[in-house]
Amino acid sequence: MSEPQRQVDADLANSMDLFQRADVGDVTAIEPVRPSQLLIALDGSAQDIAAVQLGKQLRERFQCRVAHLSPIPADVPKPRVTDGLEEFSTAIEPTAETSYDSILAATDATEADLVIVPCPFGRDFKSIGEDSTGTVVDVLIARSSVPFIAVRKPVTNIEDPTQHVRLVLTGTNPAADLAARRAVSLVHSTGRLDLLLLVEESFYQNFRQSLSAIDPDAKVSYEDLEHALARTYARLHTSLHRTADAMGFEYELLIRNERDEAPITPGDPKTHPALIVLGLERREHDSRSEIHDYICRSPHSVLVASTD
Amino acid sequence: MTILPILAAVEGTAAPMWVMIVFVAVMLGTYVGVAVEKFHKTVAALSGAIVLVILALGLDVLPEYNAIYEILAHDLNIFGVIIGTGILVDVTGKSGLFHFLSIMIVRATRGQASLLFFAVCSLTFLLVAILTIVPAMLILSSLILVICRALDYKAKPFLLSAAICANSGAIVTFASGLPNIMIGTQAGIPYSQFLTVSAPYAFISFLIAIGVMRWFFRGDLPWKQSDVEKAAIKQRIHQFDPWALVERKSVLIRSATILVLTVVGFALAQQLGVGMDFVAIAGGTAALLFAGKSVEDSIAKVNWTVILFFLGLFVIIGCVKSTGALNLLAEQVIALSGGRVTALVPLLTAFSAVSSAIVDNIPVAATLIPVVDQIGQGPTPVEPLWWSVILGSNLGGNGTPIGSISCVIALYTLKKEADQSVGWGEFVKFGGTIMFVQVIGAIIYLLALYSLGWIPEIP
Repeated sequence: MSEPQRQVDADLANSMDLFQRADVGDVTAIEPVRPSQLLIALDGSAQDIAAVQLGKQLRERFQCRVAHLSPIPADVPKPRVTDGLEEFSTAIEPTAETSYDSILAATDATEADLVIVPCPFGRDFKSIGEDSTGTVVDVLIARSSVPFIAVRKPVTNIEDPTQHVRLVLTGTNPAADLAARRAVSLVHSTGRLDLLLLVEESFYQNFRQSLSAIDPDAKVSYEDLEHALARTYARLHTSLHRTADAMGFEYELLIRNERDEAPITPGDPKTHPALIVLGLERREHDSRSEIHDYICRSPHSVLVASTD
Repeated sequence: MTILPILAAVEGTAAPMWVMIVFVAVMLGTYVGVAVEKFHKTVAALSGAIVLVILALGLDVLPEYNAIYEILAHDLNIFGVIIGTGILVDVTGKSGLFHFLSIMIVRATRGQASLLFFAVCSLTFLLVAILTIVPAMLILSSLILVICRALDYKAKPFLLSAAICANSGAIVTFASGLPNIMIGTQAGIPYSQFLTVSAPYAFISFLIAIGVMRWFFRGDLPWKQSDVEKAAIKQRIHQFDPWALVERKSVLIRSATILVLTVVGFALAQQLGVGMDFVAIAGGTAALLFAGKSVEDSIAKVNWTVILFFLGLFVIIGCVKSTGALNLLAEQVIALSGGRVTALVPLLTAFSAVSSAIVDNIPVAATLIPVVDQIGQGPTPVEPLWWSVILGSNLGGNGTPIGSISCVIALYTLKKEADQSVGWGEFVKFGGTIMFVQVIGAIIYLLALYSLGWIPEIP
């Protein structure tokens, strides 16, 4: 096959793929799930400021009720409540021995539908390192029945994170629709929502090696997997377009692979949105690992919406 | 005709007759190389250029090497137009604009075969007018395959009709086809004159093509469908949502705006006192600034193969021209026609059409440009002749399966994706008929415009 023929083949295949992506059926706008009851867990760390500020911003936008608790050991000084938290939030006393059990119990007791939690909780980066999310967040990943926002970094100059929200999907994810509903509910009407479809390097290499083992002549490229991911989420993407039109925010689909662009790096917070939304399939080991990895690497807050 | 009058005419020209013959032989050899695709056409053109430069310097056809730069200096604007529009088309294409429009139009037909056929042909005409043939045909071919599979229609009637209608779309504007860009820039034809002279005939030739193709494929599509069938295909076609193809709405709007402004810029270039190349480069730069996702990718998507092909071709034509061979050819054409427009228009239109059906229309246009330019140095009005070459070299592509890149792409796609072949005999039956009618129509059209005084003078 000649070079021009190869080029025609490639361009034709790309264009066909695009048209096939349009075959999405009847698509409607996504119904947002607006928070009605927030629970803010405080641990006396520098992340408290960001957690409280975020809670306050969400309360002002959604007129939701707010509760807070400080489930930390008695020998640790109680956190200094910041930003007039007590004026708009109800204090909850911890009811369990461990911090995570207290947070889960308070979630049930207050019927909270969104939890905001500093990460790592009750520990600092010096003691556990930046590669750990801490026990509390690990337990929330494993057991929380409601979405939670992990506030990872101590932020002093706080901007509204709902001005730029990014929903990240790296493969087939049963929690994608749930995460999308949370994302569209949080993004500000004057803000921007991205849907990032990311082909991870590890996924590509695993897929390539598996395919090669089945058929040594078979080839797969990053672009093939990008197209596959785009087709998988074509319906969600179209829904997000409709939702953006209905709610007024700006929306963009981003299709990337890690080889070309590392999506999240802790050292470069300005290049990434202030709030990342992830879908968690709790029973999937890979999905849990992915959430853990993103929270560790993210310079900003991460919202986790899960399905069992 | 004997060789004696030609030899007599050669006296006093820059190079002896045998030198002309050698140079013309190399040029024709290169064209054969381009036509048979034994080599890559760009390699063939560059090889021919290198041979002729060596010969031109060795045989004193060119006084010094710098004369090559003088030859190419006249053609820099063409490169500017190709680069600028290439970037613009790539960036706007990546915004999803053309795929979006395509699905919108297909949805509007509700999937009915007769409406879809007309819509595909019209869309081809429109997209080629904006994008040129290759990018438009890639979009259209893929659209046809996907839609035909979804609706269980035969792809062949749609693909072949699109291929034929593409050559009508190629004569709508200055930027619709490479021969137009070459002739338009060399002759200094304003963009607006394309809209008043070639665009109306583009539409007439489009109607001719649709009529013949509709008749030719009268038994291949369900032209009449029952209400039940219509309801089912409507439901199926509405499963396609154009917004699934758009990554960012604001980029789509910006791309469309830049594209429209560039077209307006082309139309006003003369009044603004700038060249088409400036408008094209400005449009391409604006696209990179305001709508581009990847500057490197978009610049790489510029058709550098065509630019290098042109580079080789222009050097070849420049060298042959320097021998005086093309002037001699022009003199023979004048002698043959008596310098009458009524003879020159049919001659040039038919010659450029037939030769474009066999060889790529770019070398045909490139060769005829200096010839027509030379004819225009005399008392013969040159404007109808430029339009003859533009219409003939574009519509000639309909005559054979290899006459136009649109036909090559359509037939290749049909073979690869639908495992259907179309032989020369079958193709020439409808393509040759359409070309014949369109070329006769073009001659009548141009002569009618000329006799009515409706062909504007080139400023």
